[in-house]
Amino acid sequence: MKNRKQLGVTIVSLLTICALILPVTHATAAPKKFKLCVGLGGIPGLVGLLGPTTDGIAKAGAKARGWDYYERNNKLDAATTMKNADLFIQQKCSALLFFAGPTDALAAKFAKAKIPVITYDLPREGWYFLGIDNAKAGFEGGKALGNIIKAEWNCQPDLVLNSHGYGVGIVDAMRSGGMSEGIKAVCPDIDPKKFKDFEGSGSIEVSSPAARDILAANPNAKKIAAVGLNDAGVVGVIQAARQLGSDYKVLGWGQDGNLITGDKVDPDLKGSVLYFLEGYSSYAFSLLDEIAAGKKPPMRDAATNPAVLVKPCPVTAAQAATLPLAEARAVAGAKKPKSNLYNMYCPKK
Amino acid sequence: MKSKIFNSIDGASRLSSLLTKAGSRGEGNVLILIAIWSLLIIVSVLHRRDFLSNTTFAAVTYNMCILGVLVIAQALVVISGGVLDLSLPVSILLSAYLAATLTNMGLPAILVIFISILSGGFVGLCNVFFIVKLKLNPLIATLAVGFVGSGILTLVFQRVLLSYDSWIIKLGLIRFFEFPLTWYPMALLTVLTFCIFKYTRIGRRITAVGGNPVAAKISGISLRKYRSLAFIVSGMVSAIAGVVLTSFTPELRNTSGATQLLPVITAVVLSGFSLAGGSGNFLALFLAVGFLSTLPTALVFFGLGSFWVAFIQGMLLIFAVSADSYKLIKLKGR
Repeated sequence: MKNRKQLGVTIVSLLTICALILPVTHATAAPKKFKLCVGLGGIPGLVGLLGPTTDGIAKAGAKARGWDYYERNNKLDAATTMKNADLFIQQKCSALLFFAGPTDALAAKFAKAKIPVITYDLPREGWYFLGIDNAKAGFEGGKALGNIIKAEWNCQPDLVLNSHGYGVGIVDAMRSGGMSEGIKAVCPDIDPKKFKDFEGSGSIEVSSPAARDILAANPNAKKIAAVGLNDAGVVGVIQAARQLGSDYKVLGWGQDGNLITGDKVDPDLKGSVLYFLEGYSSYAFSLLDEIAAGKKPPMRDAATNPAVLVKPCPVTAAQAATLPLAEARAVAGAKKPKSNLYNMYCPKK
Repeated sequence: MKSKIFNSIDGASRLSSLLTKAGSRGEGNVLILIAIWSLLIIVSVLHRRDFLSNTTFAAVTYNMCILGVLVIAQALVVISGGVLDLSLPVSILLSAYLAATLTNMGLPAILVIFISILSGGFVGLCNVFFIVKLKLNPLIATLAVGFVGSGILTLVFQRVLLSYDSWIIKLGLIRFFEFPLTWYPMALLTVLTFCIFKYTRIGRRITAVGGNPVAAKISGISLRKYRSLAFIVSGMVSAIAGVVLTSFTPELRNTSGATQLLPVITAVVLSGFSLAGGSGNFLALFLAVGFLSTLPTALVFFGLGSFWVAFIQGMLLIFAVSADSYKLIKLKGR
């Protein structure tokens, strides 16, 4: 009787141990599902990865590939970003698309957790860098405006105002500087003294008064070419000239496409360079596919040698008028998770 | 009873001496500001003759439009003893947002302006609740209202676009007798506040509440009433600056207006408004605005970049605050 009882206890114990061990061994044996994590930038006014709301394109891309998806908003806030970093580590992310000002503490966290990070616009050593071809963006935009200056003013503008955003460093140097180079490529004989650079901080509010002062200091200049880091900086120049008098003629060409689409486009903004920021994450999938396949793509983390290069797309105001708004482009992009917005929307000349 | 009467007489005499001091101090500042503004113009003209042009005039007067209104809003708080109103950027932003949104909705211009200005009064009312009702430190309370307000506005909107041919953007381009139309609210408010504070009982009472609240209270002036009035009117005045900002900015962002605080405080302190409250001259304020609005234009004529503007404004602020503190220490020492 006693032996029977002992046998019974032994069998139950063995079954319990098996029940506990088997699922664990089974789970270990199954391949781990790839989990794409996204740290949104939270930048107001933008959609997709950089904006404050869900990145539909990244989500759709992950879903189309059968991956898990996890997303947090960094809200442009250091404390939130650090908190989100801990959550990404807890979630055991396989790879991370991340937009925030990278810090040593953040980098150390992700390095310790061995999570490959793909970052945008602000490069960080040890993180795959996905960046716009900034120099080309500026140059192409400048060239496009140069052609208009040539056609309208026979390459004889009185001033070329360049609205910089010095705070963004090398990006500004390449984008805004590239604009001047592009104009010079078409109109090489413009007097270098006519090129005036100023801090516009990428906003009309800052660019406009600064441009007013420069125009005041150049009272005989009436034919003004305006370029800059973004559309807002250029519209600031246009606005300044209008405030000072009706005798100004301004030809502006911006970058980022924020003010060139829709029904409120300024008629003096002749074009812009679009990067399709709302579709940033779509460009990362070529790299993510390699990581998901177990490969380790070579680390390219410098702004001058990015892992993925986003092609800039110069568009005239007329071409831009035919494009849907960023929100609509993002929705359309999410429906085509294997493509990218450049291929979908950049006009083919 | 006797001591009450004596207290009252003492309070009234302290009040009268304070107002006399405030008046003389303000006039001194007017002369100093005329001198430094003239000096800046003379040096600029000597450097480049074409400084005196219609374009420079337009650039400077445009620079004055927003700053000039905001300094009046800030000065109202300062003179009433509210130290500083750090919620000004949110009053501007809320009003600018409403002006832009309601314009896009097609509301009549008068209604748009009226609602936008009223929104500033609401921000002022929030300040009143924390400062007058709950008796919180004005600096902390206005800072908190500013943070909460801008936080809410960030959630509400990211940017509002205005068409270049909308009435409000056109308003920002109109010139009337060579001055921008948007310059006149500042000029009218300057004259109005100067007259109110010099010739009316309300003005003198607000000054008294700021200069010596104990004496003012003894004299039967309601501190709560006049401090509340100062904050609410200040909010409404800064909302006027918000409407002007919208007329200058076809793309309004939820960060707009944030850069205004440094030049505003610099102008207020430079014009001789004591941060301790109770003294200041609104004519001097106008001159300080004129000087600070000419400065960036003059710097460009000298070939200096806009970076220098913030640096010089910061230096002027340090100098003016130091001078104010020195005067206060000297006054207390007597």
